[in-house]
Amino acid sequence: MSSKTTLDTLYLINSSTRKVYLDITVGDEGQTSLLTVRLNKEIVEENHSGNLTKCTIGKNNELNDTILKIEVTIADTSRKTNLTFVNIKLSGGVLTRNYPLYKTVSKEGDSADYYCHIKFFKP
Amino acid sequence: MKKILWFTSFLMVFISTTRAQEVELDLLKAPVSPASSLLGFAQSEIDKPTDVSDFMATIQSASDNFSKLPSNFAIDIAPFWLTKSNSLNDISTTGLANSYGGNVIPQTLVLSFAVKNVDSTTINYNANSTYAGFGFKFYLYRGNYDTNTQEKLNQIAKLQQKKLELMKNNADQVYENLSSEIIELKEKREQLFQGIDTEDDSPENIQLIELLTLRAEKINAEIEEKIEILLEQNKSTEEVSNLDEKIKAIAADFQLTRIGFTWDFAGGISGEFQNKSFNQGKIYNAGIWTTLGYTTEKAGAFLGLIRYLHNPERIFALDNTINELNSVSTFDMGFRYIVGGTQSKFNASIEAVYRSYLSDFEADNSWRLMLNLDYAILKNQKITFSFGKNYDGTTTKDGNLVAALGTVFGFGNKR
Repeated sequence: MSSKTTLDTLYLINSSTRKVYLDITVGDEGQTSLLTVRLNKEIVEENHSGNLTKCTIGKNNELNDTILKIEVTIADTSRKTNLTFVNIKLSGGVLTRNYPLYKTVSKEGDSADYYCHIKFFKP
Repeated sequence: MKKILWFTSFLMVFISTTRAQEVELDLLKAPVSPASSLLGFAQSEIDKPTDVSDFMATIQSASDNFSKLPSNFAIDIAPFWLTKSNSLNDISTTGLANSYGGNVIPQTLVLSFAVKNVDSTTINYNANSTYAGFGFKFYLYRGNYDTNTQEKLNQIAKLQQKKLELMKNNADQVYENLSSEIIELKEKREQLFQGIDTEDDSPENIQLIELLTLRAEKINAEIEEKIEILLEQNKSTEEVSNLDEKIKAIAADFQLTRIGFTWDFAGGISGEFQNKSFNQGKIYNAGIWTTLGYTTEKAGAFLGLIRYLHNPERIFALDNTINELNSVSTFDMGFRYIVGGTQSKFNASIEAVYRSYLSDFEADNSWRLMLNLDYAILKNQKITFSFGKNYDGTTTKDGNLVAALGTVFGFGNKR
C-alpha cells in the first residue's frame, strides 16, 4: 500500500506584510489525531486535536529562512476505514499550496505518524 | 459433546431466523433507507457506494454498462461522504463530537433511491408495472459521546502527547545531523529559484514560479525519501512501539457511542408506473417519520415516534393482510423505552404504537404493544425475542423463537 508520510519543501514568500496562513485537515472519518506546529523553536500550536483552521504563521516579510515544523500522529479509531490522511495548506505567500499526505494502516488501531518540514524562502 | 453440537447447530438456525425478522422488531425507528423500505427491499440488497468511483461502478453494473435503465436496484447515497474532498469539515473524532449545528445535517443526510420490476410470481406488486422510489433521512440532533467513548479518547490523547514529544525530538535530531548529500539536494532546490522576483505577480511570472515549483517537487521527493529513512532509523523504537501498542489496545475496538437528545427525520415516496409507462404513473405509497429520543448511560433510552404513512403496504388492523385498497392513510404515534447500557450486550425494550386512520376505512383505530429482548452474541449477530399484542388484537408469537429460547434457557440450567 503506497503512502506518503514525510514532507520536506520550500514555500515561496515575498517582502510584503501580508499574513501567511496554515490550514491542516486530518482524516479519514472517525480517526483520532493530535498535532504540534512549531516555527523554528517557537510553539505555534501544541497538542491540537482535529483540524487546524486559518492559523496565522506570520507576515511574509518576517518569515524568510524560518522553518515550519509539523508533527501529526493519527490513531485508527474508525471502524469504517483504515485510511489516515493529513492535508496541509499554506496560503498568503506567492502561491497557495496544498500538500497531501496519506497512509493506510495495516491493522485496526494502528497509528500513522507524519513529519513536515517547510522552509519559508525568498530567493 | 452431543449437546454442544446440537446447541451450535440450533444457534445457527436460530440466528438466521431472527435476523430475518429484525425489521419487524424495529418498528419504532425511522428506516435507514426510506425508498428501499417503501418498495420492500432488504437491507442486504441496497448498494451503499462510499466514493464517486464506487458510485459510478454501481450505476454501470445496474444499468448493464449504461445501456438500459436499472430494473431492480436500490441505492443509498450519503452526498457529504460521497463527494468528500480537501474542503471537508473536521471529520476526525474531534469534529464529529458535535451533537448539532451546521455540519450535522449534511454529515447525516442519506438519500435513497430504488427501482423495482417484478415477475408474475411476486405477490403485492403488479408484474406489468415499474415501481420507483425516493427517500431521505437526516439528524437534527445526534447526541454526544458517552463517558466511555470520551474516556477512551482522552486516554488516546494522553498517549499521543507523549508520542508527539518523541516525534519532535526525533525530527530535531535528524534535521540537526543531515548528511552532506541531503544538504546538497536542498541547496540545489533553492538554486532553482535564483533570480526569481517574488514581488512580481504578473501571470507570466506566476506561471514560471509554478513550473519551477513542479521541478522542485522532484528534488523534494528525493529528500523526503532519505529523510524518511533517517526518521525511521533514529526513532526510539522501544518507546514508540510501547506507546503504539498502548494506543492500539484502546483504538482497535473503539466504538463511537452517543447519548443524550437525538432527533431525526425521514421521508420517502414511491410511484407505480403501470404498463411501465411514465404517463400512467401514480403514488404507490409514501411516508414521513420523525423520531425524538433521549439516551442515558445507565437508565436506558426513550424514543418517541410520529409517523404518517400513505397507502402502507400492511394494514395491521386488518389481520395483517396486505392492503389492496388505494388511498389509505395512517397516522402513528408511539414510544419505545429501552433498558440497557449504550454499550451493553443485553437490551430489553417495550414499545407501544397507536394507529389512527385518516381516510375512510372499515377498521377502527388500533394499537400495538410489544416487549423486545436482544442479546449480542457476536459482532453484528443478535439473539432477539419479541412478545406482545399486535394492531389486530392478536398475540404475537413465533413458535420457533419461543421454542428456541426455551431450549436455550433449558440448556443453560444446572441440575
